[in-house]
Amino acid sequence: MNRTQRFISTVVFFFVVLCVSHSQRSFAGDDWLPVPAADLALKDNAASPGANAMILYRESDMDSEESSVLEYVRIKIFTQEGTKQGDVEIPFLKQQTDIKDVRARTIQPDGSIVRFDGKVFEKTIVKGTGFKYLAKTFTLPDVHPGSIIEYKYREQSDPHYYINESWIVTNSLFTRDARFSIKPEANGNSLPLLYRQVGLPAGAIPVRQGNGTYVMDVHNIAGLEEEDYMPPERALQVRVDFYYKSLSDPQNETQPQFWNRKGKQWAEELDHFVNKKSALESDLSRTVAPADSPEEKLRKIYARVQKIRNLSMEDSKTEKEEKQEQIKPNSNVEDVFKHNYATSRQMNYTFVGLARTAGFSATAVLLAPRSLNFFTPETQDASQLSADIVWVHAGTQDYYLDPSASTYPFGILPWYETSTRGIRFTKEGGEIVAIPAAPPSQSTIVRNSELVLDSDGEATGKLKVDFTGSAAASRREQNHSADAAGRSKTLGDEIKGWLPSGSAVDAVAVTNWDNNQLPVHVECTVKISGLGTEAGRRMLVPASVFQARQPASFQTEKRLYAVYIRSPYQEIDDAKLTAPDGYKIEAIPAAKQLKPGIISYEISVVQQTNVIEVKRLLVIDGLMFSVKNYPVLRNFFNLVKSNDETQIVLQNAQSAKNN
Amino acid sequence: MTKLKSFCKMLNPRRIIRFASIVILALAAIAAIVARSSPRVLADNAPDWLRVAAHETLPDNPKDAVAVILLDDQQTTVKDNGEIETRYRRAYKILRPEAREDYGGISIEFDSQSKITFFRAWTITADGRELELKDKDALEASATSYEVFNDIRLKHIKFSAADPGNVVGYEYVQKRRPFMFEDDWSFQSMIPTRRARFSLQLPLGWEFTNYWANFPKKEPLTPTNNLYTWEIENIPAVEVEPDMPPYLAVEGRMDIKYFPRDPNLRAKSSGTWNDIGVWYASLTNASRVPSSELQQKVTELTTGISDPLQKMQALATYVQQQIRYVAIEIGIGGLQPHPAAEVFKHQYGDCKDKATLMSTMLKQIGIDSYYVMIDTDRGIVNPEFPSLRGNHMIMAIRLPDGVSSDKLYGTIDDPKLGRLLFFDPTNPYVPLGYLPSYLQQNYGLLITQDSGKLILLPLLPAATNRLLRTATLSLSSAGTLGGEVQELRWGGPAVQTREQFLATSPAERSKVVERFLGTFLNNFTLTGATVGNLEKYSDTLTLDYHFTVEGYAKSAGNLLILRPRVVGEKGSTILAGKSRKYPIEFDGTTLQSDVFDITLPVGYVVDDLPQPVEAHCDYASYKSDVQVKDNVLHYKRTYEIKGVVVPTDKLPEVRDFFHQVAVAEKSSAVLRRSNP
Repeated sequence: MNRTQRFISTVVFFFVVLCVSHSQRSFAGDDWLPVPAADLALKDNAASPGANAMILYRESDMDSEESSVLEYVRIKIFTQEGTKQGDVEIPFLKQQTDIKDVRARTIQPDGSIVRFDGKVFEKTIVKGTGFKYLAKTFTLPDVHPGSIIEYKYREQSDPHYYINESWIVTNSLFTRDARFSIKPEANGNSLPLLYRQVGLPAGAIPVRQGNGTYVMDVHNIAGLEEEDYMPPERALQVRVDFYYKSLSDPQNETQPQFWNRKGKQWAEELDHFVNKKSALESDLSRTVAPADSPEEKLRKIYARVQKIRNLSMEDSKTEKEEKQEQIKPNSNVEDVFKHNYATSRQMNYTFVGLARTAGFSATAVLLAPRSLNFFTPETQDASQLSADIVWVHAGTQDYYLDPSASTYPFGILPWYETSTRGIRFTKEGGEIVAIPAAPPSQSTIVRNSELVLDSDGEATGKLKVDFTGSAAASRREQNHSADAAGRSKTLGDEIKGWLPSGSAVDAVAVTNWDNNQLPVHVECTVKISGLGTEAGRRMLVPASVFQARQPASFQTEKRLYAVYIRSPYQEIDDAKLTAPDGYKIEAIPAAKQLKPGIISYEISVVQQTNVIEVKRLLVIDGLMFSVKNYPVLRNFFNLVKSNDETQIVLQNAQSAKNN
Repeated sequence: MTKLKSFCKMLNPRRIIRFASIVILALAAIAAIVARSSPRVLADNAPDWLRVAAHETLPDNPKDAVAVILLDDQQTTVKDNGEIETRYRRAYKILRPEAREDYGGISIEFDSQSKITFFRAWTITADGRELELKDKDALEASATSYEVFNDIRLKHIKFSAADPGNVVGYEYVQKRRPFMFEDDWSFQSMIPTRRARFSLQLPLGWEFTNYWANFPKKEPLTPTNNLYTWEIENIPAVEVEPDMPPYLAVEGRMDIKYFPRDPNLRAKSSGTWNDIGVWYASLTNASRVPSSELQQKVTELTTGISDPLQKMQALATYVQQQIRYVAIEIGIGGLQPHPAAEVFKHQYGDCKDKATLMSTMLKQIGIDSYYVMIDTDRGIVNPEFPSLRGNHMIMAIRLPDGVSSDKLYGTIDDPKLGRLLFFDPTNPYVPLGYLPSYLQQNYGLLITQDSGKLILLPLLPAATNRLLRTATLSLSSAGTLGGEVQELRWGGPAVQTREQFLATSPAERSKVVERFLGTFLNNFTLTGATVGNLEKYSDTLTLDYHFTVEGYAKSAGNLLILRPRVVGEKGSTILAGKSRKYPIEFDGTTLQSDVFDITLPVGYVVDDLPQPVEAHCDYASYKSDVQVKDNVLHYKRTYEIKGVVVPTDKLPEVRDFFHQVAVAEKSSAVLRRSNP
């Protein structure tokens, strides 16, 4: 687990985007592009029908020499909802950037033009000592369905700030045509400007002009929309990132050469951090016994490192709080042992140091956490690798571990660090490695219930739940700052969400919370009103008392993006239900199995006198389901729900006798 | 603390922004950076009042409280020139880590009329350390996000070490020059309070009136030199309950008004609703002047129409549909509308702007109309205490003689002004004649040129908010159900559905139907859907959809079991569980009917049918019945909500009612194979 790095990457990403350089050029007052008659008459977007609005044209001209970006956006409004595009908000960091020369106008379908002559406001998004994050806001006049609105402005940055130029091609709206350009710094000391791109359509490529400027035209870029279970937004974004290659770096490196070189640099840092042999030996001697098996040693080292206070998992502190707590930076493992606190990365490096001292081959792996993005090594962009884990080889086995993820037991990684790739680095250099997938058994929810139904259809009884593996770890992580009452409430609420509406969950007792080697065990009492429903003289009871969570997300037939399930998982249920006095069991559903590929489900119901026992198993052994496979997945979850709801028929014994 | 005043219906426009996807992340990131770069304070000393408060015994609090307020102290000094300075002090004891979420910091609203002149926060840790944060450690942000611009901002300080066992506190001083001499002391909170105190220092010759909302009246301690002090101990928390009235309608609070000695300042005092009306009329008397373009537009919209009602409808549709909702509020702009000519020219405005434009246009066709100041939540405007509380502006239209009010449901008879039709020009989905449900049975201040009068807006009859759903379906022996459903909606049910569809892009509208069906059905395929009169707001909204549902009827041996109530749910579990402290509010009155015909599969006979159900209470009624004739199962039911606010003493009967409805809705019919 590497929360700090994720946090830092977020901050860096934000600054990178906002610190794009800008120029002193400005738009002349009336240099609007001509509006084709066809656009005036446009009623819908033929390439993606039924939108509220679309970007007809966007132009973004970046001038690194002048530290400016000229933005030009032309939007066609199709519906009343789309008129909200007439309210424009342009955020910027005041101490580095300003938004200047805002011009805007509205063009009606008959070609008449209403110029924006209102005020451009400066709105405080957030400001504090030393920074102001503001937004220029304005609203265009006379915006109606059928109107075209267009606006332009100059984003002018201070040339002294470090800049990292990017073209974010994807917008929330569909973009019909766009043109991007970047003019690099022109002085004699400037470094060569290179780029890496993600997701550009075929034929779209930044073309270098004679003066070093890159220009790119793109067309028909889909807008980014929100869907349940969608891949991370950044993985869906079309973008081009520019960078300057240092003259001291090798030119024309291949992908393996690039990562190899980077790996060497990182290995030096790691080796420097763990270069405290006596401190490591001393600590190791208190941690493992010579007779321990290799895996026992690793487990003990893992447990030892997890005892270190993880600063990255704590809420951010003011400098004053840090001073009060006398938190000092760690330069090496000796400091870590002395202070008994560390950042996530320092904890993992400490593990590497101890493992090496114990005689294992061990090093760190930098990886792209799947929660943010998917690793594209071909872009040769090290900033993707914002998380780290450790690799250790013992016997014939490779272990990938994250001791800094304090709620995760030995052998289980957080979901976003599985099924991904990263760079393992040693003195010899870096190499791409694949972090294995976690099997469904590493994330299991086991539910056992014993309920008694009364003649009004109300079921009461006990429910026991075990969250194992990453199912336990993620809950421990989410509630790491909660107290016992808080975790009982959160877990009780989660359990309540599995039950029919109106159910009550009480007396929630949570055990094993502080031992991440054991499942989180929850016991509670439940009351489910209306579990049994009336059908004349009969009572009907659904086969499963637990409601499947996924079908609600897959109700719609249309799907834009692949279904991205964070982690394989399984649910194992064993539910016993005692029929009410005076009722006999008339019919129970037949056993059912579904297994369309890597997902499976089975349910069986058995009857023992007046007790019904339902066993259910749901296994999802995959992460990504393409749009093409969406109908299969949707149908699967529909059938799961349908079979969960299959009814057990109870008959009033008196009426049965009379039949 | 007093909320700063603004009339703007809460809308949430989406904006095209270059970096929209990162703004939220950026805020969090910047906040963290600032927290790390807070300047160092060499000596931290908590004030004595906080040290004393830290030793208070805890209030009688429920065991699951995350924190308690040890002291809530508000000291208000009114100066003779009308400036009000208030010093707020508050001390919390953190009991549980979860307190960090809601009580880990303090946010204060301010604007150019209400400046913060002092702001500090402290922590006294359980082991006695004292930490201090100052104004310069605070973050500042816009208080709201829905307007294009609003000058109300927030100052926020995150407490140091807001950990269990520690005491955190803050103090700030705010200087205000209010538009009206209204104030309040909100002493009840979402957590228990040990001690709350309010001190009021008035200049000599000044007077005050006060009103205790949702709390027994308390007398001040013996006043000296026009200094009044109230103190309350052990105040229970306001507990959040589903569908409860808005917080401001239930919190314990003392509302207060000041009456100055100086006659020149008297205009800022509102002893009566009339005073407020007169004041607001003076604020807006120059707003309703038409431009020639505006007059021309009125002519264009009404030319060829002789019926005054049709003219009114034409203007109402124009203002609702063509004038975009945009709020720009600076200073008095939170209360004062932009001139009608300006709103017309820009073709946008907020609620008071739209009311101003509509009123100006109506005047051009000879119809008088008036502002009505109201809140979008029922219970905020308190008839017992005239004040500016409220967040919305609508209008009352004086119906001309000869205009029938038969279908103008939002009409009342005023003894002085005659028939008044209430109309909300901001809500684009509610046509002239209807009233949005949140405005019904809600108090509004009717403002004429020279007066103000509080009026209770009418509660529309259930029959004006209709949903009639009919279905023709057939069931196969495999349990597949298929067919067509037709819905007719008008009034409230039409408004809700229109809003859902129109807020969704045309390409995505089938998903609205799919999500609706998904609430009741599983494994279904929507084979077609059409919406009629979607943008004809005065017409009945029609909705037709076709679907098939595999496995709708479940087989069990030789039985086939189906729920006759295929779609639509009226039952509720909001009243299940522990007893409630507060009333519940329904969205509005309504009358809804379902008539479903399901052709049964050949080879099956009915073995069991649900019993007919009739359930009644003072606020609602429900009736359902299932019969089979000629192998067709006929299901019909009616559901009516007659009142909108259910007091606590009536909750048990309403809970029983909804329980009966829920049981009835889930009941099934059982078919048996005739030749097993």
